[in-house]
Amino acid sequence: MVEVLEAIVNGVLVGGVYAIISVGLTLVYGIMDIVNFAQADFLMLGMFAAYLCAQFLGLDPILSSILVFPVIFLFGALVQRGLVQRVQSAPIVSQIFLTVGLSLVLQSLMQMIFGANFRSVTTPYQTQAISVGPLNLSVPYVLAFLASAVMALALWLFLERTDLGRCMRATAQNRVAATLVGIDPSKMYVVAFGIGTALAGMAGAVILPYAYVFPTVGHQYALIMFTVVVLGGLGNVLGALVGGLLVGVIHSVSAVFLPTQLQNLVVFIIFILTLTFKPTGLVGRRAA
Amino acid sequence: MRRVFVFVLAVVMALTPAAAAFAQSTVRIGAVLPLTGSQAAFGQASLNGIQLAVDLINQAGGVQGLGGAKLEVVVADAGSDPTTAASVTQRLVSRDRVVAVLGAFASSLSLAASEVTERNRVPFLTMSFTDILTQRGFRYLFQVVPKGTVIGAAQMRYAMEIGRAMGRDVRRVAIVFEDTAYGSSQADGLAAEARRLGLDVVLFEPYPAGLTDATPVVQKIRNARPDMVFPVSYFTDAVLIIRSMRQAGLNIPVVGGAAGYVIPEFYEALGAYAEGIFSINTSNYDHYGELGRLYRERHGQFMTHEAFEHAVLVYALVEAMNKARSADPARVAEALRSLELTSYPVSGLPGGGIRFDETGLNVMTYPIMVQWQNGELVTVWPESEALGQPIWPE
Repeated sequence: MVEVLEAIVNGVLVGGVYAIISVGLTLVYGIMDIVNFAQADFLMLGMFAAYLCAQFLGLDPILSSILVFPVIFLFGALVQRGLVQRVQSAPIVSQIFLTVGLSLVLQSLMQMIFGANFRSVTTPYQTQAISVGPLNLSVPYVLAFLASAVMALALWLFLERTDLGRCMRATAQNRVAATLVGIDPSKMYVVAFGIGTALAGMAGAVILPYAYVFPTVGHQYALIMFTVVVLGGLGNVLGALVGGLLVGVIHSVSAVFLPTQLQNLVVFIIFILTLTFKPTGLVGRRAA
Repeated sequence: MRRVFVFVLAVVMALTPAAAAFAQSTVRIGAVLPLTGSQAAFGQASLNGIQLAVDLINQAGGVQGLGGAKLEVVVADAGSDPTTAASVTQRLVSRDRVVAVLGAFASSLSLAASEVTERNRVPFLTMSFTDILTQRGFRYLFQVVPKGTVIGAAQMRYAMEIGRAMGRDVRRVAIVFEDTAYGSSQADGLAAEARRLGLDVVLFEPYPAGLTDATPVVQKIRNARPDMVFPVSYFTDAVLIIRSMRQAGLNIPVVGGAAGYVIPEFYEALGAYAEGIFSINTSNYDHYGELGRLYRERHGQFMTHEAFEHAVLVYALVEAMNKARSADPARVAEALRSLELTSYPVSGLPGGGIRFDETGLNVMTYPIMVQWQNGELVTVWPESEALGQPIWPE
């Protein structure tokens, strides 16, 4: 019983990170109507950025996530202005091709620069755990979750309390109406894409203490990310947050009862069932 | 008169390069190894071992049986994918016309690459473990280390013998392993030996080779409450498992399955947490002598077993070429089949040397148990090979 409880708690901790990555994806879709297939590769970029900060600046990856955010934001904004903007009104097939191509280019570029080797950082708390009652929780997991919670809170404050945030939500609700009241959609797109990818980058930074970074690390997260977004409803930020935690728990608990190799299978079964019976997602209506 | 002189001079000049060519030919050896991807550390170490052996042999005058021909290594990157391994091996064989292929460290890659070499009747020399390598009836396959099941059985048996010698009672054992050919092979050996010794296998858990989160595996270990853990892992998974075990507060003695547990990077990643961890191994640098010292000087870290075993394979190949007086792959393979080599540095192998049986397996050698003590790997079992005392981790 304790194992299941611990698995649930671990699932929530890891799910917090899944949530943040997925929020970025769903935000971009909600505001721009584009599915960013390269989202997981921005996670990889964030991981490399944090790795470099650790190597050359001696910064802890979780602290360096504060630096990683603006760096990835700028890069994401540039990618949006330079590439994504061009297919904004193009057929959806062109949009898919562009972001998938971007994903491949990013992976290959990083492989050319850094090689395909697995790298990791060493932090003092990597082998530590805290005891909460009968539960043993890994410190890197807890820190990653706390960082994710802070990011989620910051995002909520941004979307609810700032003018720019409200403008973005307006664009997501109804693009034409937003334009009519004087909101510049192309500016919204740049900011949305920048924030969406920067969130993935930051998530990458905070998972570095317990994960290895290599150019194709995005693959495992891509699949989980899409499951979360579908579960939560495309475009629904709250749905992505809840979905992330849910997928984390499912992933973690299934490992207790099934062979380790089948961990992902349960997640994908749920993915397929949701698409079949409730394609708009568990949380239902679309909200910014 | 001058015309005659010029004519003779021209002839002499024309012949000299040809004469030089006769004395100064090269023999190409192929090396297919994982130089990128998760196994890159092992691939690079293996290549370092091959290159060191080649340099030493060339310095000492090259391959005597071929008139002092120099060795040249043609390297191909097998990545992490058996399909890639097979295709680059095909190139080595058809385009580069190598006399033999060494590789590919990882059992799954070696299985694929050796199928290509067998088809082309080119010798494939390897230190991969999996039993399947020598079970296919191949005539051109030469494996310098024991089989995976034998290594696994020794991993279990030596651990019990050490426990008994130190007055420890081990009844419950947990076996976790990466699920490719290497891990599965060795795990089968571990489980069979455990049953033979009457032990209780409380956990037998394969995990995906590219594991990125060891928490589920370690939770299973904890719930099984074993007296000893026997993981078989490559590098990244080994580090993740040990880290997660420490996080979960598990101080159960660990007996690793070679590969990730016996490389310098393992100690670099875990530091003090690596101390006291045992591992089975197929050879260890405290037996390598001068070759090990030269390697350490050149590369700044100790010579791993895969580096040494690949170096030893180079020496075996050269010896076969000397015996056959030929660089023809088929003749070299025949010479390898009847080879018996116990000279330095091949004597650094446990058992003292190489002799291949009809399946291509080196029947002279056996596994040894090593332990991390003060940042170095010390051979601690069996007593005939031990150069240090085992310490039971508290």
